[in-house]
Order: sequence, then C-alpha cells, then structure tokens
Amino acid sequence: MSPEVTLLVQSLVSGLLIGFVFSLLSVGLTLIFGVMDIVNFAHGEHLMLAMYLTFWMWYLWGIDPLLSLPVVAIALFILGVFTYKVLIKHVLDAPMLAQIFVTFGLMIFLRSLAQVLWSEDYRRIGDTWVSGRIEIFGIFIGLPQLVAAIGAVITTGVLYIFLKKTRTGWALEATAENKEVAGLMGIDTERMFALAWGLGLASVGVAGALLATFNPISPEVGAVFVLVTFVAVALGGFGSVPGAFVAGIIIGVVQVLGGFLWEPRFKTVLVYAIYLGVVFIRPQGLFGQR
Amino acid sequence: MLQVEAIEVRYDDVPALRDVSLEVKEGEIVGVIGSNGAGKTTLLRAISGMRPVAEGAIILDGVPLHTLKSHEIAAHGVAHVPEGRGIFAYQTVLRNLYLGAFLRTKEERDEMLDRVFELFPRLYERRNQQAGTLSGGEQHMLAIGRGLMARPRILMLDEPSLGLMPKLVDMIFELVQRINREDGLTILLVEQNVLESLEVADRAYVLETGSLVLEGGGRELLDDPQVQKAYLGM
Repeated sequence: MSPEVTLLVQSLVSGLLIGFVFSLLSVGLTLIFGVMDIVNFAHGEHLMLAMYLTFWMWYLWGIDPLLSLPVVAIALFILGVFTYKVLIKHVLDAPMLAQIFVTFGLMIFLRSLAQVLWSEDYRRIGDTWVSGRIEIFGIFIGLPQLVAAIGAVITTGVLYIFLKKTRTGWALEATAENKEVAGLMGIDTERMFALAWGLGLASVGVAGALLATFNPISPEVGAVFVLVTFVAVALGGFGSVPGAFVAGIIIGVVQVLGGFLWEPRFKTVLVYAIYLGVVFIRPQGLFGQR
Repeated sequence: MLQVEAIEVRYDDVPALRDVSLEVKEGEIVGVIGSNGAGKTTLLRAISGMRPVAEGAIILDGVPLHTLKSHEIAAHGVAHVPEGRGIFAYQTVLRNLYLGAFLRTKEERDEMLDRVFELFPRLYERRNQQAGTLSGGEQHMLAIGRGLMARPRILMLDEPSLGLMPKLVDMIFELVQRINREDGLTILLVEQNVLESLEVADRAYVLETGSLVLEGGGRELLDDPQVQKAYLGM
C-alpha cells in the first residue's frame, strides 16, 4: 500500500474504534432522555468521575482498569439511581428550564468538586494489561483502543438485548413511549426512571473505565467527549438506542477523516456541520420517531 | 364493587368534577354519558390514578384507591382503556398485548391471549405489525384487547366508539356486551354515543359539567324525556 492509503486506512480504523466508545456514551445519554425526556448535561462529568475512579483504583491499589471496570459500572449505576432519587425526581413535573438547570448545575458542581479534590493536573494510567499495539498489514492498532471498542460494542449489545428481550426492558421501552399508559399497564414508571438513570450511568461507567486506559484524565475531560455525544444523540434521533450506536460510529469516523482530509484543527468542525445538517434536514435524526 | 364517593377533581384549582358519586356492582355494565367536556374522561382518570382526587374517596372492594399510584391501582384489578386509545405505536401488536398482561404470569398471559385473538381475529393477523400502522378501528380493538389482557376485575372504557364508522361502532358495543356476558367482566363505559351506550348498559349516569344530574337503568334513561331532549335529539 502507498503511504497515503495506509494513512487513510489507519485514520479510518482509529476513527472507527473511538466511534464505538462514542456510541456507548451516546447510548447512555439517549436512554435517559428516551425514557424521561430529560437531558443529562452532567453526562460528561459522570464520565470524568468514572475515569477518576478507575485511575485511583489503579494508582492506590494497583487494580487494573479491566478488573475495576465492573466495579466502576456498578458504582456509576448506584450513582445514577441516587442522582435520580435525590435530584431528578423533584423536577419531573417542573418547567423544562428547571430540568435543564438541575443537570447543568450538577455538571458545574461535579467539575468544580473534581478540581478541588484532585487538582487540574492531567493524570494518566501507566502500564495496564492492554498496553501496547498490534500491527496488521502495516496498520497500527493500539491495544487499549481496540479493547475499548470491543468492550463498548459488547456493552451496547447487552443493553440492547436487555431492552428487547426482557420484561423489564419492555417496561422501560413502554415507559419511554408513554409513561401514563405504562402506569395503567401496572408498570412502576418511577422505578423505570431510576433504572434508566442507573443503566445510563453504568454505560458511562464502562466507557470511562475503558477510556481511562489510554486517555489522560482531568476535571475537564468530560467536556471533550460530551459535545460529541450530544451530536451523536441528535444525529441518531433523541431516545433511539440503535440510532445513538450508529451515530457514534459515524462521528468517530468523520472526526478523524476530517482531520485527515482537511486539517486536524478542523476535525470537530465537520462533526458540528453534520449536526447542523441534521437540524435543518432531518430534525428527528436518523432513527428518530418523534 | 367499585364505589366513587363524592369526589372532587381539579385542573389548576378549577374543579372538573364536583361531588360525583357512583357505584358499579359486580357483573354490571355501567354507562356514564354526557357531552364533550362534561368530565367523563376526568372521572376515569381519577379512578385509575392518572389525576389526583382532591376530595372524596374511591373504593374497590373495601380498598381505597384514591391514595394509590396508577400502577398500584392496576395491580388491584382496574384496567383503563384510555381515550384516543393510547396504544404503544412503536411496538408490535403482540408486544402491546403482552404489556397489557404485565402483572400476569406467563400462563395467564398466554391463556388470555388466545381469548383476545378469538374476540379479535384481526389482531391475530396483524400480531407482528407495528401498532401504529393499524387502522383506527384496529387500534380500538388493540386497546380493548390490551385492557382484557390484564384480566381485570373492572374494565373501564373511555369512548371506545369515538371516531369509528357506524359499522364498527356496532361491533364495539356488541363486543362490550359479549365480554360482559361470556367473561363475566364488570365494565364501566364512558361514552358520548348515548343511544348505543344506554342500550347495552344495565345502569347509567348522566354527567353534566362536572356533576351527576341523572341516574337510572339503561332502558329507563332511554325513555327519560330529559335525556331524549338533551342527547337523543327527540
């Protein structure tokens, strides 16, 4: 292969890999939105917490991120349920502005808390079980990125099967479509809301543990990912899990391709151009139903 | 069986129902008739816990329902088929029916499913179709079928004939009688279609701007000059 082609394929592969992680993050966000029409603006900060949790478990006790992953996922699940019960539950019937400010305020609170507790310093997890890279036909693939992508796909798949095949999953989907009628069916919709928050943040937990193996960690790390996540959720169609999955991959690829074909500093410009395109041409998103 | 005792329901402090009391006995078809905006839907929403009850009480076999949430009321055996059908449009017909039996065991669910498909062969044909793609009449059938799937003690139907062509309206009312007779199901029916409702109802109440103004046997009310003048155009 000529160097240009190699570089192109290299870019495509790395875009694809990070795209899967975007997918998982977006699925978590869209799940919460789909079930209760509330946008979690603190989604990125929840990711940041997951990454710090992974980091500290590695730093203090030498636990490998792959081992701490389930712990982080469960911790974030609990945090999600807690967030719902303590904050979100009280604004369910409040005006939209109040709902926005609750999670927006939470975002600022969590970010500031991280700055106070852990300083602005960038942290990095050193050697892990997945460090290193492999070479296939002259294409280099970072093992952490590869493992992150695989982990993200598995988690998204499990979540999707849960939604489609289990009774509780059906109840979640029914609540998402019409919470009043879901209540008439005997579904405890408030429990479903709590579950959506738990699952939404557990997805973030998995993504955070996987990202922590190669991405530097700082109090602002959430902001980097969350904007892309919002674009993916809009592109996929608010509330659509398959939509968020596909959109996450598209955005991952577009981002690196934009950097490759154009200029690295413009890479996010293309992503937002897609977002504008969605808003103008197909506001309901690719898979959106509403 | 079901007692509604002097309830008041408000929307933003404006009472939509005032001092409404009614009773449904086991095995009865009870109609609540009245024009648009009389508060018929509000009454059903209050019973199923979708609207808070400001005053009064709703009792099902000695259990106060008015302090419970929707899903708890459903668990006590109240099935509410909401106005405008309220089906899950993005789910299949079968999934809608399964959701109706959410609180039932798998055996009960499958048993009831056979009955629903027997009553509505059309739903069987369309079982794997997205519910939103059904025709208006089929969506009514699905909503009623989904209500039956819960094996309720009392089935509440909110305007089941609304927006249907006359042939289908007849079919729906026949069906209401059929499930009452064959399955022994108690039914509370809210309707604007006064003539047909009174024909199938054992007893009925007339609701006007949030208050009950008349009650009596279905036939009795059909012969009532006041009802004839106000609702039957005679």
